[in-house]
Amino acid sequence: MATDLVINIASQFLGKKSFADADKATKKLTGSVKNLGRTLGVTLSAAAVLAYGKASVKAASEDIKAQRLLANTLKNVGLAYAAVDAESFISKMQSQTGVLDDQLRPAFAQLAGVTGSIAKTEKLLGLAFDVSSGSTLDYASSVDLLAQAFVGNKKALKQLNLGYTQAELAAMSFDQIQQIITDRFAGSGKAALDTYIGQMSLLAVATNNAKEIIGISLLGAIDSVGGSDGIDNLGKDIENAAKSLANFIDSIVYLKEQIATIPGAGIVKGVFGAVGNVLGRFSPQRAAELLKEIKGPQPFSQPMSLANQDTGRAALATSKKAELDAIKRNKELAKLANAQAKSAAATAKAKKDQAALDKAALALGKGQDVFNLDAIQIQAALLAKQDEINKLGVSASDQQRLQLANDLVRLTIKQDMLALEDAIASKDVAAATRLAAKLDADLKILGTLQNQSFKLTDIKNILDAFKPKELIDQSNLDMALSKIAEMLRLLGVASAQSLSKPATSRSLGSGIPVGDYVAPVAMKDALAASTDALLEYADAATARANAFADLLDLQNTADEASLQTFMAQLGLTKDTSGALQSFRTAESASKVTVEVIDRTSGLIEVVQNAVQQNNRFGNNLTFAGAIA
Amino acid sequence: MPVELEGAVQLRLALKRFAPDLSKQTQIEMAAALKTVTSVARGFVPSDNQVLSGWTKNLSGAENFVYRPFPKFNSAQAKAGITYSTSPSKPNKNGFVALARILNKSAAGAIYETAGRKNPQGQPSYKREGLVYRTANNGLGDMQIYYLAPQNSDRKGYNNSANPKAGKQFIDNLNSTGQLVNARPKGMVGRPTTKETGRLIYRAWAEDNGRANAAVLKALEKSAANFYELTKRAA
Repeated sequence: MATDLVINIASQFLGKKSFADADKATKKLTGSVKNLGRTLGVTLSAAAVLAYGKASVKAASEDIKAQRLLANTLKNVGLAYAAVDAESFISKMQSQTGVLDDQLRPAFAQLAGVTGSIAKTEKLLGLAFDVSSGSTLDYASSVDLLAQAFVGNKKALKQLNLGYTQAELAAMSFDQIQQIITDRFAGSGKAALDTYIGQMSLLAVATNNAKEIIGISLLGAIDSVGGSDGIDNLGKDIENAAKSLANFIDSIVYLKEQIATIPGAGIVKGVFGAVGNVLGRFSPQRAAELLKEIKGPQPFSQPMSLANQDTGRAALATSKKAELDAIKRNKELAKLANAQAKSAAATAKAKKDQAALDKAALALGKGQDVFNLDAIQIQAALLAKQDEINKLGVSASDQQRLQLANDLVRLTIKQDMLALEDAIASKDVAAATRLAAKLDADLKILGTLQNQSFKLTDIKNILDAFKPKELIDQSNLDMALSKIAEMLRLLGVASAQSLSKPATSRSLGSGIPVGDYVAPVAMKDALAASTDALLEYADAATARANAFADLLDLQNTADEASLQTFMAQLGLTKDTSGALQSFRTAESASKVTVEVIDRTSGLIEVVQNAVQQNNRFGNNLTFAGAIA
Repeated sequence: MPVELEGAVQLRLALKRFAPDLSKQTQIEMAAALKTVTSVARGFVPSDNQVLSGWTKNLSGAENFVYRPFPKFNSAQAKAGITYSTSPSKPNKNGFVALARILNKSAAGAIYETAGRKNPQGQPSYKREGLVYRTANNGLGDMQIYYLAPQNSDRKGYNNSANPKAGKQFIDNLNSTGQLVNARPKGMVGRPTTKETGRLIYRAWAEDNGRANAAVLKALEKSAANFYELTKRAA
């Protein structure tokens, strides 16, 4: 089929492949079980016995080493008296929890070093077992976590997901944390032990213990029988002994099986029990002990002393002292934790206060904006009042004037206050002093108004002070108009004088008749006349023209004298540049300005630009052969 | 997820061997239930002029292709490909045998059924490397030959068309003729999947609301009861 687009309606599990897998798995399991059986010694060979013996000796050696290390550690932390109890506790705990003593001893040493108390250490070891069972941590990590927490390092506690923040955990004492952990993981260890893995771990502990016990016995035997032959010979002896032992066990097992087939085997079973007891009694360890007894008592390794005779009492005193020291240390730690918590709380409070201050500063910044809005509103109100004053003008009643003055002074005072605050804030002393004086003056004005002891003239002055500076004053305008009118009149007079007829000999009263002038000589008369006659005629005509010029000069002198007289009547100073010019000079007081703007430079630029443009486009004005 | 019946395969074998009439009767009853679904599913197959015209055309030179070309759509073939089976199937890799099945066999029908259920916007375009050129021994003097890098084309799971929107246009056209429907019942335990999403048989199965399934099971139970009665009487 090209595709697998199928809808299966009803199906049945035949399980061909699954059954095959299950079959494989079963076979594998069977093989594993067989291997396990072999390991457990169901079919132990001599080689296996020897290997097991070696492993046992090694395990026993390491166990003894670990015991001594723990004892030394306890001694170093002042708990030497508890070494025996510690071993007892560890032995009991490993059988109960399935945690090997290889792990328990370092844990015990670590916690004892931290807590300084055997009781606390034992409690924490039990708690660590619950924690490791109820979490993803292994036993060593759990112990480490508790040890760190005991000295105040609580960062690792987050791995337990206790539901508290790091800050909350940091603020708690170790006892509180211990209680929380105990509540959270209570029963986890027991539940874990009820599982298959838990039972297997207990079995592993038993196996290891057996290995260690056998190893210790073998070590005892080595110690007893090795003698001067050395370890090498002893190894060979052990091998031979192991082979013999294996043969012996096989024989016993075979014998037991054969006897079991015989009727009345119960009696024989009792016999085997007795044989087992005999074998147990004559174990290598027991043999070594017997050998020691045969050799007789050995001298004391330690000298007898008075203190040693009362070791029980001394140990009790040491124990009490150690416990008291541990309690003291715990108290110190608790005190330290409290101090840290207080410090953290103080820091948090400081941060909170700082946040509040920041917030207030932000609000103040916003308030500053509002403040500016107030200033704008005040300014707008002032303008509105001024507008109102302008509208009312002279028609305002006394009451209105009083009200307006009150409003204006209030607004001014508010404005002064704001400006003064600004000046104080910016530490501008000069401005602050000035504004304070202004505020004082405004307050006095307001006081005057509110006490009703006012005078209308004062109010008028107040209002006038608030009026904006007038750009166009009516009186000034009237005065300017009158000046312009006078100027126009004088211009008219001047114009009339300029339009009058030019002075003639008649108008000047020279006695020369109208039309009396030297007539030009006709061409034909000139051609006919002699040269002398012509010269004489020309001289006579020149003399006559000079006489008329003298008359005109006299007339001009008379007109100027008349103008001076007129200007004197107007109160103007004399100016030699002429009457009109003098008048204009006098009128400069009214600030009539005439500006002549010189545009020459602009014209030059235009011409230059045009020339340059022409040059760019190839229309040179100075082409070859052109006249410069 | 099909319903699991214990002993159903053995029952079918026993029926076939010892009660052939009852076996045929059972098959007929199961077929009647399944036919309702296949009939509806065939009704969802679009006509040739409803799909993109290029999909229905014969490819020129297809007889010389060394690869299998994209299957041409034919409405009649797609409809004929929707069928059912009442015979037990071979065990799948998990060891399950299906007693009855609804199938969409044709390639074009399968494409119409499933296109867009994984990539509703079409397959993504693969970014080509760009132009590659060669300069030596091309027989054209100094001329350089440029061509698109072929090593990055024809990648599975990518749009290999020159039209980057080809996939989307194709799916949009199919969606305009029939929507994808997920036949997986809502609230079913397990990881959500689109394996049971389609436009033809899955859509028809979803719209059937389990009636055909119940009818098949009922037919099997009925045949089992009848077979039990037969054997009881024979004993």
